[in-house]
Amino acid sequence: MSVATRFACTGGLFGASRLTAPRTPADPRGKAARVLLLVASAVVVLAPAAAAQPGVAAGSDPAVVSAPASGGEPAFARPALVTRHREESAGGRQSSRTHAVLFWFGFAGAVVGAGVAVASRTPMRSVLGLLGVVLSTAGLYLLLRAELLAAIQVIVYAGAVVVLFAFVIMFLQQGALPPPGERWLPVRFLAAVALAWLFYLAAPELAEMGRGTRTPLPAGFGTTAGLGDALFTTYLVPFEALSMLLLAAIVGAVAVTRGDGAAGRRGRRAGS
Amino acid sequence: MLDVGLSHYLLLAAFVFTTGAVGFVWRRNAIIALVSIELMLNASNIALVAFNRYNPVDHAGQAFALFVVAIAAAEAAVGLAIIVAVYRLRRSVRTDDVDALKG
Repeated sequence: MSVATRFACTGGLFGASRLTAPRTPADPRGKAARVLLLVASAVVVLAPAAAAQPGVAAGSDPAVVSAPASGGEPAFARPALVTRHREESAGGRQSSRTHAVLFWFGFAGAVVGAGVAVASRTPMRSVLGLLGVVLSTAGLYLLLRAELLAAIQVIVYAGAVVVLFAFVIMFLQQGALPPPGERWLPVRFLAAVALAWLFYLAAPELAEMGRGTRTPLPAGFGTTAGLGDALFTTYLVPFEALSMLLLAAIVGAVAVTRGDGAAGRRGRRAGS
Repeated sequence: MLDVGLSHYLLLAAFVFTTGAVGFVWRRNAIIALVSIELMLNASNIALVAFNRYNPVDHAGQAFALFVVAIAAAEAAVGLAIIVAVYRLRRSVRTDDVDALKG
């Protein structure tokens, strides 16, 4: 397990411990949860789990794998695929290094935005976190050569959905919204364990990083013409069905919020 | 770290999806629960587009990502409408306060 992987696991477990931390520090159950998380993080970070992973150990010396890596270099032997990939991508439109830097910016933006969206106390900040995730995802779509989808992401998600969320929050008078629950929920701890388990599962993935292949793209991939061609030939029926779904959603939203439903009738009956 | 491949994008999708799932079961605010659902749909979109990028025989992943965006927009509209209606009825957006069907 490389140093970077251990850092990633530690960061993930720290985030999980923040999620489980109760508001009152004197809560003994919260203390127990913290101790358990500490033990779990120690197990994940210190255990030579990577040595037991056949995917990491394949083709490399086991002694090298089990020893902690020094100087930040991954301990596994780099396969020939990586060097071949580097040579291939050097002549491409976008260098591998630029792609990686942009990807990690998008990665950080999406992860931080998701954390803010889930963990913030006020709904407005949560929606701003969602906005960060949406914009980071749009950038990643550009990296993945999905140009039309990136534009749609910005227009539909950032322009319509996030604004609708913000509009509803302001409509509901944010001061009237109570703070999140203070109770210590067992489900919180379960969620943190699940998160830690995900990081544990992701550790060999992290160690495998750098084995990506660069696939040559056909002309017109991801452009408006290319995606539109697929949408109006292969996916014509789902596309049209989607318009019916959107129509139903519009009608349903109007019907629910019109105030002429059960709430309105009850209000009138009580008033008359 | 400098060779970004499909697994990186899938890892990011897994992170974002797990965060959304944790938020959905954790938070009692209905608006933040909806935001968590949006996070999960976004994560699935990242995975779809990434798979399509590394297997570019057709536009299946991108087309489905487009469908997911439309479904997410419809879901947000209906969900927020329900939240507004519940707020009118109960003066609250906490999911704890809406338990008439709990039995």
